[in-house]
Amino acid sequence: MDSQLKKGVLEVCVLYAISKGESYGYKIISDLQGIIEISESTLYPILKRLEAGGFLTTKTAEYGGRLRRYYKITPDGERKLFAGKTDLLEIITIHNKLFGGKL
Amino acid sequence: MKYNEWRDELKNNLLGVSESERERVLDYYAEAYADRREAGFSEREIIEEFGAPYDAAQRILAETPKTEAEPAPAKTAPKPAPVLPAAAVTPAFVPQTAAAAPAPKAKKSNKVWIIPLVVTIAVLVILLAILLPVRSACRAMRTKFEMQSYESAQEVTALNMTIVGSFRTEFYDGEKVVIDYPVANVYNTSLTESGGTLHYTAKLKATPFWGHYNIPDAVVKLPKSKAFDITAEISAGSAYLCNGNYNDVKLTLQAGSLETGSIECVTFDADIDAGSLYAKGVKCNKLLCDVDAGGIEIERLTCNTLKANVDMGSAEIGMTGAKNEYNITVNCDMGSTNLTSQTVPGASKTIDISVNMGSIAVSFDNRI
Repeated sequence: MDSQLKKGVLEVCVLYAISKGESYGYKIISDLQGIIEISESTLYPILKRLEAGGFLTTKTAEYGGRLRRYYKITPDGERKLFAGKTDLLEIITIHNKLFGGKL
Repeated sequence: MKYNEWRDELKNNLLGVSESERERVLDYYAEAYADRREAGFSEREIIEEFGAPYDAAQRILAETPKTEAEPAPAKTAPKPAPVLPAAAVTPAFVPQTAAAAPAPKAKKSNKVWIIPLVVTIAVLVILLAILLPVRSACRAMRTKFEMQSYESAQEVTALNMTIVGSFRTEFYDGEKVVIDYPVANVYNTSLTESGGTLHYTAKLKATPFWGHYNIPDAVVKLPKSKAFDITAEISAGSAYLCNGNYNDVKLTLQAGSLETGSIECVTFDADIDAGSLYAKGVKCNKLLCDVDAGGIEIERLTCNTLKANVDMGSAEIGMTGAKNEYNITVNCDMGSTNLTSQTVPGASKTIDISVNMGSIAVSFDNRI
């Protein structure tokens, strides 16, 4: 997939994973497994970008004797997610029109 | 490589970021490492998953604003070399010539011809890049297809089509299956019959570099007196099933569109990679649809078993009958659906819906 397109799609995927409930790095990757390939190295900059944009907040909490960072979607994040979902559906519609019946 | 070594190499590659940011990155990976170990991954597997520390650092650096550069270590100015009086450096024994030989002139570089050559080559490449696709597109669109007709020789009860292109069905009053199909020198077609099945394949010899071929639809004329199995695999194109009775319908679409009128069949199976299915009305025993990326819309569906799997796309299905006639199983991963699972005592009909990252909406008209 084109890198710029994938960047946008990944943001939507990550926001969706977080929208289901407060989440953390490995859980986000596990939730997205089978949908889109994403590794820790790819996820970190996405989370940072989304946090910088105000689309998610983070907090650190104790888990099993160690600290874990949790991510939570913000109202702006919900709006961005909705916009992303609309964009993806528009891509599908364009694709269908583009390839509908013609080579 | 051990995790500690990986972490140290990552740290060493995170140049130009603040100390706090560096610590945050290392905490992030430490947490990821611990979570994966808890999940049962080995250290080696985790390191493989993380990738090379240099690459991980580059991704982070690409997104992280650089902090102020650490001040470069102060360089001490080199001491100037002592200047000796001229007389002191001239050896006494060097003979003084009357006229000093002139210093050899530096050769002038005379390579100005390179610039026009490079410009000419660049212009030629750009022209080729524009003209070749245009030429290819024009040739593709000018390719003429002729129509030929094939009539089945044996008793046929099933059609099996593998095509790049489009087809549509028509019912008529005759006894034989007739296919009017396009031919051209760029298009390989084949029609064979065996065991009651008519096989039609049509593929391009090569796809055009640019543009597309305007391939006419193949028209499959079916006797009204029979119901046929239709199996079609379409790489890129479209299919239209006209109103009428069929037996088992199985359509696989890689890219393109499927459309049906009001049809009756035993089983309707649609597998769509990227494309759309629109069905005006389907009446069948079982409907199976699998959509990777695309859309399905069925205006009116009457069936006993509906199994729909939508990966990243959408499905809108209007069912006849009442919702409480169905046992419903919904598996909604990261998508959306208006249905919830239900078990209805005595219900014999089933709806099984699975949505990965897409949407499925099912409505019921409550008419018997």
